[in-house]
Amino acid sequence: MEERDLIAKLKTGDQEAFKLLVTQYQNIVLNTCLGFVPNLHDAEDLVQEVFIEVFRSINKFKAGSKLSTWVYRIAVNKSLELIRSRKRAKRNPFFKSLIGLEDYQDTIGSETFYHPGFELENQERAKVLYNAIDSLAENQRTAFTLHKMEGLSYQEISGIMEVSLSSVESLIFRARRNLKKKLENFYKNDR
Amino acid sequence: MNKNGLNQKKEAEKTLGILDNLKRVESDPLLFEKIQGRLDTGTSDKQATIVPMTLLKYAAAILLFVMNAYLVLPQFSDNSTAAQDDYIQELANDYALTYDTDAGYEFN
Repeated sequence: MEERDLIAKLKTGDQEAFKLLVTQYQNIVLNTCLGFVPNLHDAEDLVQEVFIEVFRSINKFKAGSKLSTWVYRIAVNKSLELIRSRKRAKRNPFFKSLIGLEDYQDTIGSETFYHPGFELENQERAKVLYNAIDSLAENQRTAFTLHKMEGLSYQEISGIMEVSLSSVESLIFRARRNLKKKLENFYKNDR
Repeated sequence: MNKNGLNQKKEAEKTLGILDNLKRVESDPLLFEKIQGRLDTGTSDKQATIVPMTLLKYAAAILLFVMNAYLVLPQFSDNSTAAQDDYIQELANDYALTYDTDAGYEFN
């Protein structure tokens, strides 16, 4: 089915079209979410959230842009939302319990590191890497993750992040440089 | 650069290098059914459960505030001033203090 037809059917609420969309994009969305939230259980929950959001807001999708770009954008935003809410909750546990975020966190899973894409012997090293990635600025993190983990081109990333091509280049360059510094510091202090 | 510095660089490169061998993860084969289930039951979002809980917590906080205000505020009202004055006067008498603020301080 052509993408244009698929979108048209999705807009009418066609279940078969939705099923096709889920089948086509589920692995892409899962791996993107895992790139941000390195826990399989959390990532799987996020995947469901992403597709529900796609189903609900398909009418907001603008013709002319690519469906994959839009799906990636939703996956990135949902992942970043979860990361932000967790950081907020860590900063202020009292406020978290008062407004109910605690319950939200409990339902969406734990923060235990488990990324099945890494070899078992690399899980510890991957955890160190993710800790370093976690301290990057959000836009650097997004550009780096989409490029290095999802293998997307600068062009595709610029479409998803809605920034210029040169900005993507700069973000990835700075992300890599900062990561190297952070990792070197980590191994310096680890000795 | 010393040996330790070189080792740190090497370790950092090695850690960054594990991304080159990252494998794709396969999604849950029952994903569509799970999404469908959540859409059908209307509990599609965690937000659906978080909102009533949040409202409940806000309501409890407001109720506590109102109850506190109800208990504390009368103590500052005009009606209790006379009783307060009596109480302070009694205390002042017990400890042989001068309650009258115009009297000034005198040393015996």
